[in-house]
Amino acid sequence: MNLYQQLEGILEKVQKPARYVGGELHSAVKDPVDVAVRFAFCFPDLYEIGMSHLGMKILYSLKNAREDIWCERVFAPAADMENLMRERDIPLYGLESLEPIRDFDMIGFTLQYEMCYTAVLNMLDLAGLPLRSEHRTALAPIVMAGGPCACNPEPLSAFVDLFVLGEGEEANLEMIDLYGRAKAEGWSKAAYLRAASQIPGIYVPSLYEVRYNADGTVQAIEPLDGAPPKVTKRIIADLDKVYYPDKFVVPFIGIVHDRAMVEVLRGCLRGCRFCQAGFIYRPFREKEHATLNKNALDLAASTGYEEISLTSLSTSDYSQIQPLLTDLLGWTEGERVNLSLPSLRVDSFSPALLEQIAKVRKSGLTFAPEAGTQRLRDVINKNITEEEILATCRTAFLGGYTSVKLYFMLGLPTETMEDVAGIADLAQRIVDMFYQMPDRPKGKGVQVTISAACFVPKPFTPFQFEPQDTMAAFEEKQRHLRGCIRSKKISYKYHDSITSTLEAVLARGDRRLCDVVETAWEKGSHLDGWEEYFSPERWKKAFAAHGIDPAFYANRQRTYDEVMPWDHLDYGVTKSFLIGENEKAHMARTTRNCREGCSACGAASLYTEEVLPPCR
Amino acid sequence: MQMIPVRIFFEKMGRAKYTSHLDTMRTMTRAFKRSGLPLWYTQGFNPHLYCTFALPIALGCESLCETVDLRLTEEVPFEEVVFRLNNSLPPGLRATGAAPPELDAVEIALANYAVTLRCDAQHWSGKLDELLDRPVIEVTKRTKKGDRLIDIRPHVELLEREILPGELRLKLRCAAGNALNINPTLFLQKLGELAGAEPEGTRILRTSITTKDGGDFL
Repeated sequence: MNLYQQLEGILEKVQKPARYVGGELHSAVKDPVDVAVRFAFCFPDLYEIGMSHLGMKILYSLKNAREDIWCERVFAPAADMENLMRERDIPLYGLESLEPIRDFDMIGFTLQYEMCYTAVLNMLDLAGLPLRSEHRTALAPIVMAGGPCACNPEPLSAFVDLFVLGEGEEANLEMIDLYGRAKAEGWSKAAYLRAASQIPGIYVPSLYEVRYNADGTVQAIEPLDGAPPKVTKRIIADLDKVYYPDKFVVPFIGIVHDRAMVEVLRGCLRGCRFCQAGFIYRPFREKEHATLNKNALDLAASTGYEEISLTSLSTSDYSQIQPLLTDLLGWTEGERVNLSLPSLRVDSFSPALLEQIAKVRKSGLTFAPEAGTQRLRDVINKNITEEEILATCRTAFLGGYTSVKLYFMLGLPTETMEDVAGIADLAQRIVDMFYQMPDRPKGKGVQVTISAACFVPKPFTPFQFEPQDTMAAFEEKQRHLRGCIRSKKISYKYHDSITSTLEAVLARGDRRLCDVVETAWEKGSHLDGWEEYFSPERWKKAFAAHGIDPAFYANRQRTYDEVMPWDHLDYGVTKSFLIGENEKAHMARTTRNCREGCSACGAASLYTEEVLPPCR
Repeated sequence: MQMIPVRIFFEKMGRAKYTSHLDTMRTMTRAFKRSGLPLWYTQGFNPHLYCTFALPIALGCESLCETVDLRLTEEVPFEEVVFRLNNSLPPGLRATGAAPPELDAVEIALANYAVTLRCDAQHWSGKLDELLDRPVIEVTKRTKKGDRLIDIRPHVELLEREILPGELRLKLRCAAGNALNINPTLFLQKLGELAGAEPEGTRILRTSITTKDGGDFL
């Protein structure tokens, strides 16, 4: 018996009902009696967001490739659907079976951004489960989570039973297999969690005790019950051989990234000091171009997608980009498939590459110089010069492009008002250069868009010690930048600083924030990633209710010897390397990229196989 | 290059009814691509797959009689078109036939619907008589040009009624086509207003599309 009949009564009343019924091509439908473990893969955001996420597609297919596991997809409902579900007592269900996930064996969340934390709680509540781990006493369901925010999962540690650190392809199956055994042999939840804590990469927060200093900082984190003192994240040593889906679930409704994606590489060899992804996904590993071509062919044939994207943190750093493009362009044009290449870096943008992209599509170009002056770009180790930015824009203009979008951050460590003004100056120089080009595209003006986000210091980066700017400082910088823009050819978009402040609190938060997250949820924070559902007031009240000052987490300078709430988690990159990088940042000294030479960050220690591929 | 027009007849049933027309178009386009059929693309600056739907069913309703026209660049037996398409369609969408288009979409005049209402059938049936006795049934129809008040009485005909325990089944014939298309939900909403309640469940199934003399749209 599933919920379909009950749903029929409400789906005609909600926006985009196709979000809530499943039944898409290639969704995995199995018979519950044939499987040993039922897994609910929850993405704590709307369908259109979650369905765009590559990691979910990989882990969904990987689990369903096993006959004894049935993995279903679950997304956060929008407010209209949530209200009707609560009104009619419809519990959160899996899209494949339309059965309540509270009856599943495991419920897994992927944590892609801090603002989804209350959505995790809301989904547990909609499922009809107690929020706190300690109140869910039975073995099933085990609530687990992974994804980038699992690198400091402390603000969710009271709610989630276990976290998978790092890449999930192997650890997920080991965790599920152990669960299968626990279920067959009738283990208690505590026994399962104790055993799971021995699997490399699995962190069971209830097996660690945190003590605090009088000043509120962490004094020590002690393992209990034989849990390892350090939990080291997992990586896939040979990326070329790792499982990759040959099918994606093809949604009925348009989603954000509605295309086939092939994953070109993992990690990033650049080491930009603000970028968490650049550190926590190390070491840098690539797939072979022939493998990628096969992945792309399989997906194009099975999905019918008109577009394939080459996905990674920095696709233009892929050492086999030319042979790969040659492979792909050999068949994509005939099959009427477009190629898209996100995440291109300014300095690797050659005229030849531009020509190949232009064969496919002419849309706007996007660059991320991140900072407006060379000094500040050196501080953040964004090894791009102004000459390179201008040369690339010139190449692009010669290729017929007339609009350029530039991404920057405000509030980077050591930033001054000159650096802020430098953002406007750089945009102005691009505009001036366009009009000085005798061979510029005729009959068109140039359009430069500046987008400036507020910097959020993140764990496992050299800037994890840095205070974030206060909201007042952000607003002053935003005003200053706006005042420095003189041309109508430049448009400026800025981000709301309150969200960034909250992200900074949650990103580097400790266990005491669990109460705050729970209270914010109780007060109605259900889908904070969406402006229309977000209210800073609820969070302010939640902090006040627990006597917690958000500035302690966001705006405080941390010393190098402070125990971080995540110091018992090991992402390969050592703290001493991060300290060294922080010192170099304050001296505006850059660090070479991994291809130019190894800087001994520590990530190479993550290779545990006999074969040790070099990380360059 | 040859250009062979083909009309595909298909069903849209079950969960697929929650797919809007725009999303159905995208879904069909991808299914055509997966099928490996020799598809004809428009020859303009930005080539796209030629495919056009005669009278797409509204979101939330099922249908046995959807059509989409496309063009092939080579002769393919119609049974094979249907077979290959059905191998690539998601659950709920199923091709039932393929043939050269005979009629133009402007000739569509009527559509037949099978409606099932889960409700107090006796009470609702009485209200149905009341509604049908009215000379004029004014409803607000949302159109691209804004809301418009229209009289649907001349455009809705009750063909059959069946009163079951807890279920009222109706066969309705409504005006259909590009000029005036009456969605049976407009009529059912009026009925609900008279009955003073919402039905516990509503199922609307379009069973056929016809010309004004009742011949199937082929």
